[in-house]
Amino acid sequence: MFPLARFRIEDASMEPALRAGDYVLVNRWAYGRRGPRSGDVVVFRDPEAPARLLVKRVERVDPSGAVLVRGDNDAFSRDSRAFGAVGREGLIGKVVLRARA
Amino acid sequence: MSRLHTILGALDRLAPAEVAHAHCDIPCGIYDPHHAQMAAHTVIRMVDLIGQLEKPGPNSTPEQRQEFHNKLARYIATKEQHAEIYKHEVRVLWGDYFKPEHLQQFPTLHDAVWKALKAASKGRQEINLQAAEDMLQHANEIAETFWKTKGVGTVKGKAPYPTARETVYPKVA
Repeated sequence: MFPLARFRIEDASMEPALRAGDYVLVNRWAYGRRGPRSGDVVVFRDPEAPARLLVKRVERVDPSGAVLVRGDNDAFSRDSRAFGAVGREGLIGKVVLRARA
Repeated sequence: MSRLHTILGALDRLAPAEVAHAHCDIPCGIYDPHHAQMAAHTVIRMVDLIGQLEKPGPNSTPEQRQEFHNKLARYIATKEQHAEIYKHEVRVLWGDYFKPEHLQQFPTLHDAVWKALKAASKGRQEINLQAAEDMLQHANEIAETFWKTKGVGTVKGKAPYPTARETVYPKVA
C-alpha cells in the first residue's frame, strides 16, 4: 500500500486549519511504529457511520491507545464529545500536507 | 488558489480523491422527537384505514375492485414511508443528538431506541395495530428523555388527530 493518500475536505468543523475544498495528503503509515500524539490532524472512520471518513485534531490519547478527537471549530463539530474515543484500528492516517483551495 | 491545490485538483479529475468530512451536521442543535411521534401516528392511522376499507365482494364490478386496490396501495405505501421516516428520525436522535453523558443519566435509552426500531420494522412489514401503538409508545419514551436532557418539562395529552392516542409534548413557554 502506497503510504500517501489524497483527500478532499468537506464541511467546516476544522476551520480555520482546513476549509471545505482544501486537499490534504495523508500518511497512512504514520502510526506504524509510534502512536498518534495530541495535536495531530487525523483522518479516521466515523465510529457511527464507518463508510464516512472524518478529519479532526487529536485532543488526547488515552492509555489504551484510543484517541479523543475534536474539531478546531468546536461549536460546529461532531467529534469525540458525541461519539467517544476512536480506536487505533479506525485511524486512516495523519495529515502531513494541506493544499489550500 | 495554491499551485499545489491546482495540481491536486487536476489529479482529482483523473482519479477523484476520497472525501474526508470535517463533519458538523449543520444546522447544529436542531433536533426534535416530534417527527418520530408524528410518523408513528401516521402508521396507526394507516392501519386503521386499511382495517376500515371495505373489501370488494364476489359481485363487485372491476371499477369497485380497482378502487379498492388503489386505496389499499396508497395506505400501504404511506405506512411503509412513515415507518421508514420514524426509523430515520429515531436514528438521528440516537446517533447525532444523544451524548454519552445522556446515556449515563438515562441508562434505558439504548433499549428504548432498539425497541422503537424493532417495532417500526414490524409496523412496516405487517398490518399490525399493536406494533404501530408500540412505535408511538417508544417514541413517547424517547421524547420524554429528550426533553429531560433539554431541561424542558413534558405533558401527556391526547393528540388532536384522528388517532387521538396519548402523546408526550414539551411544555414550552
